[in-house]
Formats: sequence, C-alpha cells, structure tokens
Amino acid sequence: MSPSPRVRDDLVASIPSLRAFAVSLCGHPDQADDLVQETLVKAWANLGSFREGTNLRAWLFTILRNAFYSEFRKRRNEVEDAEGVFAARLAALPAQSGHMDLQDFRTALATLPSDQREALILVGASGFSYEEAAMICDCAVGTVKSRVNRARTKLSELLAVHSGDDFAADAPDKAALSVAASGNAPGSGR
Amino acid sequence: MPRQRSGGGDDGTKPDGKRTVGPENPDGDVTPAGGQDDTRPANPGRDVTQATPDNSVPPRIGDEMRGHIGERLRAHYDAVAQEPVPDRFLDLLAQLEAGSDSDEADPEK
Repeated sequence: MSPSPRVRDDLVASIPSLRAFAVSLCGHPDQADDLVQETLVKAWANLGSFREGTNLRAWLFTILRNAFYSEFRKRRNEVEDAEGVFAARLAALPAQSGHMDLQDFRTALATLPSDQREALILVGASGFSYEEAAMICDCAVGTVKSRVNRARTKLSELLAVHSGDDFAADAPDKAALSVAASGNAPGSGR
Repeated sequence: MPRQRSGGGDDGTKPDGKRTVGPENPDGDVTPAGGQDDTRPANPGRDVTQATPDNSVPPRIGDEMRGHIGERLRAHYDAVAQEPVPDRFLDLLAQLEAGSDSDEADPEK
C-alpha cells in the first residue's frame, strides 16, 4: 500500500538521521547507506503496521537497528572485523565543523561497547527521550540510562587523557585522569 | 631461561606487598569491614564527587565535561545528518512508490 504524502515526507525527512545513526552503528559510510536502504525497503513493506500519528522516526530507527543486528553483523563477522578496524573507520569519517578534536572523540567513541554507544547516540545526538531509546533498543528505560551514564563516564576518562594529558603518555592512572577531567575547560573550542 | 629478578624491585610477582589498613590484624576474622560498601562495582580509582548510595549508578561526571561530550557527539552525528539526502534514497522511494501504485496487493519483503 502507498503511504500518505505526509508519511512519505516524514520518511524522507528521517533519512539524514537514519544515516547518521547507521554510521555510528556500523562505522562505515557505504555500509551505513546500504543499511538505510534496507531499512526504507522494510519500512515500506510494513507501513501497514505503522499507525500514522505515532513516532515514525522511532519506528524507523527500530527497524534499522534490528536490520543491523540481524543481518549486517552476520556479514561483518564473515570478514572478522576487529574492534580496531571499527575505530579506524569511525575516526576516518569526514569532519564537518571546526572541531579539531573530533577525530579524537570518534576514536574514543569507537572504544565504547556497542550497546553503550548506541544508547548515547540515540539520547545525546538523535534527540530521543530515554523512553524512546528504550523502545528502539528493546530494553528497560533504566538500562538505557545506565548505558548512557557509563558511556559518558568512559568518554570523560578517555577525553581527559587526550585533552589534558597529551604528553604524559605513560601515566594512565586514574588519579591523573580525574584531575585532568575536573580541570578541563570544555569551552576551548571557541 | 626465565628472566631473573633480583628481588627488591617493584615487580608485582607477589600480592603480599599490600598495606594493611586497619589498626587491628583481621587475621581469621571474616566479618566484612563496616565502612566498605561491597555492593559497589569495583572502581577503586574513580573520582566520585558525589558519593551516591545507589550502587548501580556510575559517578556523575561534571556538567562541563558533559557539555564537552554532548557538543562533540552532535558534531560527529551532524557531520552525516546535515548532508543532503543522497539521490539513491529518493530514487528508491520513487521506485517503491511506483511499485506499490502498480501492484497494490504484492506483499513483497
């Protein structure tokens, strides 16, 4: 069945954020777009089960995430994709703005466990509520909160190393990290 | 031949070097230390600014670091999300639309 023009427009409007989410999931722009394509085809085929007026974006993200975990991961495993490869890919993504430390951030982001990374992306970048993110990830709201918290904590440790401890290559002890974290001025970008 | 250690170094061969913290020797005493919260996840070196009694919640990071992370997170995301929609997707939707118009009853996956 053909969707209403409104749903079709919403579908198109969701594509940019679907692509961004897909890149964060699989770390590779080309694979990400294949994933988005698969998502759109699946969504189209299942539009009958979507109730107009409910959250189309969250519904699409759910489809994309399911497609990634069910199929894309299988394919990825065939190539035996190491964690380091994922990190390198994410760090190699084009930077748009003037954040000189964006690649460092991406490297740090890539080291997070995938469940934490996706929760952080959904809540911190895609603009979903904890409730919506929980629906998308098919888990409890508290689980999302805990994943996001752990992701932020881990990132704050890693970023403190990069921004505050650049020259202390072999001083990775936690005390140094937390000092750097608390003394770090985040407004340095401007 | 195994490498030789000439004693006295700071190698961690034995865990015996740990300092006893309590004044009394807790030898044979299996009572858990009262002040220690054993239910917390093991994060000894963490900077806990606000000691929360809730054991499942990691320490809250500062608002500044939070802003720092949020800003970069969105920069990372927007680098892709602010790109125009590639033609392949518009073509795809046009194809899907054409397909569903010409063949309403096809439950193709």
